[in-house]
Amino acid sequence: MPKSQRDVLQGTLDLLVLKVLSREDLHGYAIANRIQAISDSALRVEEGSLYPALHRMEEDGWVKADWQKNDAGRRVRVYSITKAGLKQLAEEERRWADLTAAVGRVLRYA
Amino acid sequence: MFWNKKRSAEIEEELAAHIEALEARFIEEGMTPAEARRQARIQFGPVARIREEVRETHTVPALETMLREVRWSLRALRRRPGFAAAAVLAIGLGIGATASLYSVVDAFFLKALPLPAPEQVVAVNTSRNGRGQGGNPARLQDVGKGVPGLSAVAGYYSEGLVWERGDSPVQVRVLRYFGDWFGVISASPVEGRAFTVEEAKGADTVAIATAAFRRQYLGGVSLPHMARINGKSYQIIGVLPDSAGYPELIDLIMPGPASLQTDYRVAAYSRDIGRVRPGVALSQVQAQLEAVMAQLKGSYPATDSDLRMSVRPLLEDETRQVRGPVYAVFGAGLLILLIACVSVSSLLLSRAAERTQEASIRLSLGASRGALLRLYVVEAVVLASAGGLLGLGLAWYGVDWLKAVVPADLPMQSRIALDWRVVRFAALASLVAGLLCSLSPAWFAWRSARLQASTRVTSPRRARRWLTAVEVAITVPLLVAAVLLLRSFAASASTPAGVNAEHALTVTVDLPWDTPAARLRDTQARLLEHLTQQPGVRVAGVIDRLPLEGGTQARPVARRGRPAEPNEPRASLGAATPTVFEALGVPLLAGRLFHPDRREVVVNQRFADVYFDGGNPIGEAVNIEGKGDPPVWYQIVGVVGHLRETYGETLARPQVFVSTRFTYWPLLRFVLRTTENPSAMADGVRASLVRLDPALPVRRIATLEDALGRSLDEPRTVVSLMSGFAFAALVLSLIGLFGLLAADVAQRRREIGIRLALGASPGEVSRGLLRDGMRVASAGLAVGLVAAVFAARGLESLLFGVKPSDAVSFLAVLVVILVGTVGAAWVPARRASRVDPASALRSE
Repeated sequence: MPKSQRDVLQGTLDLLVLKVLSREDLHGYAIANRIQAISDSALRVEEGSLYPALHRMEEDGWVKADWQKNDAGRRVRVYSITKAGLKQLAEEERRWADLTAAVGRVLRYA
Repeated sequence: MFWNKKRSAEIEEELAAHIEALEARFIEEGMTPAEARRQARIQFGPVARIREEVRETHTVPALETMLREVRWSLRALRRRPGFAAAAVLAIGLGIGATASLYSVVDAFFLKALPLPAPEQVVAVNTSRNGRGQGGNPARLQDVGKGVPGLSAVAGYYSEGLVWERGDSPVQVRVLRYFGDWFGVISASPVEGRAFTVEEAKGADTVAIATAAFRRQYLGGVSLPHMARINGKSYQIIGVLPDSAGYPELIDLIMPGPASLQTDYRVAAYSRDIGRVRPGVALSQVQAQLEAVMAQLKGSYPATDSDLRMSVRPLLEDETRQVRGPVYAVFGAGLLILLIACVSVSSLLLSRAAERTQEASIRLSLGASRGALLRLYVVEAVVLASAGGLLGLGLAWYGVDWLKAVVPADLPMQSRIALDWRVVRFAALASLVAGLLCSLSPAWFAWRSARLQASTRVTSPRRARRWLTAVEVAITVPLLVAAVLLLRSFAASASTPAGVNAEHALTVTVDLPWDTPAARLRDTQARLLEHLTQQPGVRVAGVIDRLPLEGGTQARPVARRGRPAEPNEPRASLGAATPTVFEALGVPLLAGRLFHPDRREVVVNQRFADVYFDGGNPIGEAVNIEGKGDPPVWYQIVGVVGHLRETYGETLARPQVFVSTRFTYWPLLRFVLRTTENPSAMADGVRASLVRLDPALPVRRIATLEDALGRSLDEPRTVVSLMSGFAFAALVLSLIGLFGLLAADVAQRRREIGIRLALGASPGEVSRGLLRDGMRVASAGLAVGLVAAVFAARGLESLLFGVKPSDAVSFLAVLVVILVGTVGAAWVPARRASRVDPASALRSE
């Protein structure tokens, strides 16, 4: 069962993280920043949710992590998306589209 | 745990990096470092809690989780004791059977020979015109000199002698060798000394003991030790190490008798082995051997011209005649284990279906799909491990039973044991079985989880149908194999041995091979007279080989004016006293028996058919010596009934019997026709022989019936194992079929109720169910029959008097499966037809 079933917000977090990672390999702080920046600060990612989510997705094989040095010479854990992650992303995107479409229909016709 | 520590440190570092990044940003935005640090902490949130949460996503592969899952499984299984017991029993039986048989496979084919660097030791085989024969010391010497790829060659034979040890004589197995025996086995005495060069030339005064013999009989004795064996004195001068354990069950090693070391080249009795030099390929040795043979053909055209010699790894060579039956039975055992796995898998599958709700709850509570799958795998492995333990317990008895029924005279038989190698195999097999069992339920759970079926219960019905069909498909070749072997055994067992086995006793005396011919004749005559005079003995005779004992010598037959032709069948040459025919109950069909001192022979009807075109052979002369110059002619004086030679004999071979006076064969089989129950006489006969000569190497006293039965021991074991397995497979797959249909009826009660309420007749309902069962069975049957064709072909070498394509066997299996299917479907079908529509509709 996909994680989105567990709670919509967290499921959405997976979707957002995977989407961001599908463009570029990033470390946790950068992922949070990127989501916030793209959404014009409308979406703020809680660190308290981000790291468990990242590690869970790593465990599920959707992302993999790698220690790298950043510009300041600090060791950071950089995440990249895997093949399984890309598949999951496609599925989650489709589900998201279904959901928004369904919500849209309800709003329009209810 | 180390792994956990490392992981924790990494998480710590990752989170710290994030906080530092936040700090850096706040400083950039103009905060003081202290303020920035405070703000970063606030924004990040409770570090300790987040760290714990992150950690929890990772604890999965740790041992503790495994243990927890095992505990869960055990608890879940305790709630379903019937299910657990059935699964453990099925796998336990499968593991028990395969582990027991593995001990035999291991003993015969896998365990290295008990010699240093055993992979270098080869058998050097000799054959004449495609028929294997023994080696010859003189020729072996030529091979040793001419084949540089072999560092040492040796020939040996073994014989049973009697050690006159005080009042209680002990039978000892003595190995006599030619050539460089200790070079081939790569061992020298660890105690005492080796044979000197002079002694090795054939001194009949010294012996070296094996480690086992030293332990059993010579504890605390200092060497050299004097022993009186068969009336001669020997010095036991040394003891071999335990690492020199080939051949098995040898007590003493002595140089081959001097008289045999320079034997005429036509003599062929030794078993030849050699040690290949390290780094030399077997094919090179073979090429060198062939070069030597080509030379020998030139030097000794009379004796060496149609000989071929070949090398083969010794262990493979020793056990090649049991390869077919052992692997066939082991394969059948593996199939049984496979069927057991499929059955358990089917059970687990229904359980998985019942537990889809539980699975969804676990998933929604945060279990990952992987964790869920692992639960099924762990459960199956737990079941299979319990089954494995049970199986080992069964193998404890199984190995003992196999040790008793696998004929003891097969090479390497003594190595059959329940040792740690068997335990390792059982453990591995249990693990694989567990994984196999978990395949289908795990797959099912995975799929239903994907379907997010938190409310709908998906049915594993289709998957169970497949599994049941697979069970049938595995059962069919097993059944076909069993039926073929049974028919072959029945055909063989009903083929007459050509003797009257009632009221006959056999006494086997193996005299040493270096017994001088004159002494052999004396001993034979003395013993024959003694045995004839025993009370209750009507007539007694001597023959070189008992019926069904095998190992007869094949000889070309030349007639006057007609030399033996190479493509003509050869005749089996037997040596006997004229009295043995009456003692055995072999009828004299025409003419008379030979006179013991005259060059006369009797033949069987087949001999007359082959060499005299079915005409009357009496009065004709034949040369059966196999060598020409000058020919020795024997006159045919009579025709006797056929004496069956081997278990697998399908066509009687031409036979010719000559008086023992004209042959040399120290392995004497006395046959006594008795007036009383022969088994009651055995002890008396043995006692009288001991009184006559305590050193007489009497190998066996048995009724003729038992002696004939012994040749059936090996095939009987194979047949009974195969039939047992086939029966078990049939039962398992029919239970599977029954379970499938019964579950169907239970699940479709409502539907059946509706159909009955709407006017379907009970007959239609049960016919429908029967059809369903038939469909599953015939799918398995179709695949199984194809597999059976191949299986039967693989068994060809074990079949006598039955073709692998035997239609009767295939048809019988077809009928058994179809009838069995009807039987298995019977109860569920009746149950379905008796569903009460009203109560079925009201329930749920």
